[in-house]
Amino acid sequence: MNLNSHIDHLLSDYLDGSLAAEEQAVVARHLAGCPACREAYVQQQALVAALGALPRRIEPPNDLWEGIAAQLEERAAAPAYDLGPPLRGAASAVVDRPVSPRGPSRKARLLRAGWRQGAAVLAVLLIAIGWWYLAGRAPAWTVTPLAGAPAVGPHALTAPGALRVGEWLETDAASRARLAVGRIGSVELAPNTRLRFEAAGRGDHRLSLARGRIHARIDAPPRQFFVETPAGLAVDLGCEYTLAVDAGGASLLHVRAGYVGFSRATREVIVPAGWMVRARPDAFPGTPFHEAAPPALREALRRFDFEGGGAGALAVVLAEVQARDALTLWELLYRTEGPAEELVYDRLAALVEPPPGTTRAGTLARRPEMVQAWRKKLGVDVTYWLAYAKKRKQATR
Amino acid sequence: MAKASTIETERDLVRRARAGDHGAFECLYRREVGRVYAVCLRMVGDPRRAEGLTQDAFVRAWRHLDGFRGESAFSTWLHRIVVNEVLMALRAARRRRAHVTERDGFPQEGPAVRDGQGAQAPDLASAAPVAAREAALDLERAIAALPEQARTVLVLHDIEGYCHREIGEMLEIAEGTSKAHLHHARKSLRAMLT
Repeated sequence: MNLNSHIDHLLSDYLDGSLAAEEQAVVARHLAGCPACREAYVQQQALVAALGALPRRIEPPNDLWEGIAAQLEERAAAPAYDLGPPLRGAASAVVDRPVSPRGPSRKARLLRAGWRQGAAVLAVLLIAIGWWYLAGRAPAWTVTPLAGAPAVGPHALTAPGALRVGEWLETDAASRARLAVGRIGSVELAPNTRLRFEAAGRGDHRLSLARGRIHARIDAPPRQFFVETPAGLAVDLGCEYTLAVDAGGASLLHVRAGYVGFSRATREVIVPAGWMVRARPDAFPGTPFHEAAPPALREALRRFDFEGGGAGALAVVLAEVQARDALTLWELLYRTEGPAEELVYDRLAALVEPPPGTTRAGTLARRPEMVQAWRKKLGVDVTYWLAYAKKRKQATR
Repeated sequence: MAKASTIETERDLVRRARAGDHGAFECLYRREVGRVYAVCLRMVGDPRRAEGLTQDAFVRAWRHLDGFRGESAFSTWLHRIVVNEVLMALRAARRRRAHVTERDGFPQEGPAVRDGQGAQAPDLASAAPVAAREAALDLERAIAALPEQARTVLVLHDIEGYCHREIGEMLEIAEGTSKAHLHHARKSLRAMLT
């Protein structure tokens, strides 16, 4: 076994942080001096990020409710746990075992009912034990007051305290707090913020932000830290960011370092450092914009994304964008069609030299290699490992 | 506050469903079906089978609604039922084909697997940007082409967020075995997509 294969089999555990500290250090030292393993590690990191960026929801091609409802009706018609009169023919088709034409004896029915009741009790008991077990293992995260007296549930904190799964942490106009996110980072709550501790476990650190503003700093592999908001889910891809939710549930995400995925239903926007995105509870996430984007551009995007601003709003966007806003135009390609889409492309190509090998027609036709070349150029190729892999594949042909 | 009201509504729906209100249960179904179907589809890699499992999971959830104590979100509780339902189905399928040699290894990197043509890919909604959708489709095809155990562990760990201890308990395998499956699954994906 050579050194590379030895390290390669440790990469998964290293990435997940599940190696012992000593092994973790050995792998880190090896990675620092071995380009081949570092390359494998980067691919591994990117793969895990891409897996985390897959949509969490996929709508089935057919509506399945009718089939489910039919089975609910059948159950309602068949009192499976009934100790009363013998089951009638119509109901016999839906009980677990066929009923003889004369019906089972009273003793058999009682025995069967007893088993069913026992099984039901056992199922409930197992579920209850499961929840008790999980709840009992749920760790507490430390809350440190930074100003005033933030509250955990009804209790005001004047010294560091604990926040447990299911509890709310709230700051008023005069208080601020810092919440340790397990061992992977921290979240600071600005005044007038309310969030709930949803889940904790290795690989799933989850909060929901009902209102206010948080500043998260996470030092962990991608997709370990999640913040639910009324407008969508912020998925940490290794980063630092602020996330604000207003009284109406609208969100504003500002990424300071790394990348954050913001998703709702099947749509996910990848937001790199220095970029922002708005989201509303009743719509897909908006178009990302650069933190230096002027107010006129931001306002036009808001109208385009959420108020049906259409061609008028788009015209303002096209007039206001500069080279630094190229990612905004790239995202708009996917939110426009026909002549509007062509206008967006032409503006993009005027501001940023198209990557080598790409053409206008090919990009508008979404030829995969051209799309990937553009995304790489614009620095938003979170599936860069795919682009990288394909590039390698082409290179070895 | 909107989140809190969402939770209240969900609790109300569950309460009504427990009282036998099919309409309330349908609302819960509409909310959760995308998440449930996604789990089923990725774990079995077959859209038709995933539809059947989705239906079975909701029927099972209906039967066991009384076991839901409201100590977590309904979706969390439902999710565990779905995973159990899929795992039971996979075990049953394994028993049915017990006379056939189980494929314990990992896929040979033949052309079909390399190109992802040998597996069905989930039908991702067209709302996703094209580039992301294409990349995601490549990845979904590669996931579907993984051997069953490796795919199951990968989906549970890297997509659904379970830890190895939980996966080990669910699959009745050692925690170390779960880690080994994940390592091989990730390695296979990297190879398939290179």
